[in-house]
This record gives sequence, C-alpha cells and structure tokens, in this order.
Amino acid sequence: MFVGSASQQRVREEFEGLTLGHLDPLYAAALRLTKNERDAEDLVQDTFLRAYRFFDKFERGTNIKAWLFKILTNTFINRYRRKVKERSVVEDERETVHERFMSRDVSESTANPEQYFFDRLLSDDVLSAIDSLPVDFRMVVILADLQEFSYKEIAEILDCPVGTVMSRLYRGRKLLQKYLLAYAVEQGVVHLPEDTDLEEAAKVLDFRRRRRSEAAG
Amino acid sequence: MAADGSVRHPPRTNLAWEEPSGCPEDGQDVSLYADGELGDAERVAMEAHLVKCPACRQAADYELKLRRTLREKVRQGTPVAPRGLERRLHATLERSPGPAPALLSIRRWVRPMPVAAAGATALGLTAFLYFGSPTENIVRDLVVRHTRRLPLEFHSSDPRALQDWLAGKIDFHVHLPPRTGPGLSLLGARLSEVRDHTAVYVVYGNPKHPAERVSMFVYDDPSRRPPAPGIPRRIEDREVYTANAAGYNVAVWRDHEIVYSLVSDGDDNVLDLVREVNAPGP
Repeated sequence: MFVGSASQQRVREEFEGLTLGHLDPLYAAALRLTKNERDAEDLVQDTFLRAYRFFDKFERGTNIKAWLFKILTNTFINRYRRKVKERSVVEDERETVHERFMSRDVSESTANPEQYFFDRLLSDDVLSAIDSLPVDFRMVVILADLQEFSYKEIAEILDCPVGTVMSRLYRGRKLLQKYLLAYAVEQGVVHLPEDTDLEEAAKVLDFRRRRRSEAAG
Repeated sequence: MAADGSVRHPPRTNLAWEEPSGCPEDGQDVSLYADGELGDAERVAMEAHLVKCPACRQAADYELKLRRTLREKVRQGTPVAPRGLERRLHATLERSPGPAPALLSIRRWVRPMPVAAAGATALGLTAFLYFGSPTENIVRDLVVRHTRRLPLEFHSSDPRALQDWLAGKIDFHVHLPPRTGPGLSLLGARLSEVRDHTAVYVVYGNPKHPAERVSMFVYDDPSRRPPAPGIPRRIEDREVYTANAAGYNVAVWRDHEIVYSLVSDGDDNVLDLVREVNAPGP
C-alpha cells in the first residue's frame, strides 16, 4: 500500500473532500455514456484517478464539478468510445418527420397536450431515448439538460466553441423528441394525424426497434 | 409585425415538435431563456414579454416542461453510485502516489474556469468566487445555482398556489412564509437540484429592482449532518449557518431532514427572510 507523507495525506483528504460529493452525478453521466454499469464504474474510477493525478493543476476555488466532468468526458472519448464503436455525429440525421400528432384521449390532450404527453413518458423510455443519441449529441444533452451546466461551461468541458454546443444541443433535443414520439406512438399514447409522412415515422420506429434488438442481443 | 402593430406568431400545433419560433417582437429565442442563457436585462425583458404574449409563453412553457421531464425521468430511472464505489475509490486513491506535477498539464484548467461567469459578470463582480475549504462546497454550489438565474417553471406571488403546484412533484413538505415583509415578494419556483438532491428553488424579488433576487433552495437530506460549515447562530429556534461569499449572503439551516438555504444578492434582507420562514405559525 502506498502510504505517503503527512502532506500527501492532506492533499488526498482535500481531494476527496472536494470531489466525492460529485460521485453520484458523475456515475449517472457515466452510465448514460457507457450504457452499462460495469463500464460506468470503471469510467468513474479512471476519472477520479486522473483527477487526483493532476490535482495540482486544478485552480482552487474554480468549478471542480466542471473540471471533473471534463476529465470524465475526455477519458470516455479516449478510451471507451473506441471500445463501444459508436457512431459519431451523423450529419444526415433527418430532422423533418412528424411535426404533428394527436392524442387518442382527445379531451385531455386538447386541454394540455404537452403535459399529457410528458406525464405518460416512462423513465425507461427517456433513458433509452438519450442512450440512442449519437454520442456527441448525448454528451451535450447530459451536460445541459441533466446537469444544468451553462453553454460556456459545456464549451470548456468539451473544448469546443459555444456555437457548437448550441448547435449540438438543438439537434440533440430534436432527435430526442423524435425518439420519444416514436415510443409514444408505439405505446398507443398518441397517433399520427392522417397527413403525416408515415414513411418518415416508420423510419423512426424501425430505428427504435433496431436499437432495442441491439440492446437485447 | 401586423399592420395594427400586433405581433403575429405562427400557429402552434397540438404538440410543439417544431422549433419554437423566436419572437419577432423581441428577436429572442425562448430556448435561450429556458436554458438560463439570457443576461439579466434580457431575462427581465423576456419575462415582461411572456406576460403579455400567449404564444411565446406557450413556447417557453413547452421548453421548460421538456427540460424538467428529462431531468425528472432520468433521475427516477438512474441508480445512485454503487455503495461500494466510494470505498473502492478511497482505497485506490490511498494506493496512488497522487499528483505528479511534472508529468502532464491540462493547460486549459490552469486558467481559472469562470464559475457562473455570466451571472457574476452581469452583476459586475470583479473578484472570482473563492471557497478555500472543501466543506464550503455547499456554499459555492448554492451561489452558482443562484447566479445561473434559471427561469421559473411556475409563476405566482401566492404561497398557497405554489404549494398546490409542488403537490405530487416532491415527496417532502416545504414551508413557505405566508408573508415576506416589505421589499420582497414571491415570484415563483422551479425544480432544480443541489448536491444531487432534488431541490425546490423558490425565488423572491424586489419589485423596485427586478434584477435583484433572493433564492431559497429546499431539499431533503436525511443524513442529519450539519448543512454547512461554520458556527451557527440561533434565529427563531433554528441553528442558521451564514456566510458571505463573493458578495452574496448565504444562510443555511436544517428543519429535521429538510435543508433550507437562502442566497441573496448582498442585501441584509436574507436574515429577515430566515425569520419569516421560521416564524411560528398563527
């Protein structure tokens, strides 16, 4: 066992005091990135080890949560992303599908269709939809919508311009809503109006089934 | 803009899958508002506009609901870190030689990362937020949340209406003061998080100075640990931990398992509000 000097112990205690409080959000993000618990745990361990190793580079008093998320995303990109062989941002993702659809329960949905739809979403469906996003979109959605980082913080974490963050967030959310709609249609919560481009809708549902069968297999 | 000077908005369909339109009157996008990315002046202008523009209000409601739904559903479906992970991390770190300054540098982080830079800049702060002790993290987190100025999901000046809105959204009771004294009024609330706890974020404003706010964060923490560092002072039978950080006054106290905290832009009214929240009922 590495024991170290009293000063090293103080550094370690300071590090643990600053970082361990962020363990749950880091693990939750790791789970969405790696999509399985074992890899998520490994990713978090690697993140903490790297952070500890470079702790002297951390500017005291600045945002350690953002610093830890930067190390987490870098570690994921460098190591785990190759392993899971994910698609990167797909430029030809179709963005115009079903711009409109209607609920079967006309009275309730007419009164507040959005709330009706949101209330009926299942946790598993939302998680599955996020997991289905291309990884570059998924990272900004996790950082913005789940962790409430600002655009500027996300740009620092991912080392990219703020404009790129905004663009990926816009496209990621659009895609996410498509997947959620596909689930809602499949579960009979909503149905598409007659003039919807069914071919496009079918593509979304096919995509959803493919993802499910990949996950099961 | 229409001939009569009114603003025309595209008709909205049953569910707003299309991008919510930027408002032609203000030229602002509600998604920036929903993400808390507008500066103070823009946010105040947007909120004034939302009061009078049903189409933009609907678009903003949709954007906020989408974000809240994502947060809530993900939180419901995501396990916390395995119980043994923290212990394993501790053991691994103990075996690690620790920082190795000469080996590598993460250059970007040598520069100070601006914490809540937008909010701090807007408020004209020149000093960095500095919190030296790890135990002061909670104070830092609260100030960061306060300066983000994330938009409210429910607007009301009536505490009872706010209680109704909270019903079913959280599994703990939040005590809201029936009155807030002169100079402050209840603006509304949203659900947020503090230190990975689901938190109710209640905002009080000064009608004469719309950019000034007091944030109250309330969350359930069964650990019963002291909610903040320092030596508490006694106010209305509560042990209240106070701090002044980067120009913000912070007060934190515990009511059994529920932790309350207030962050103000620097006026003395934070302690008055502590008294109001904890004042004995009629």
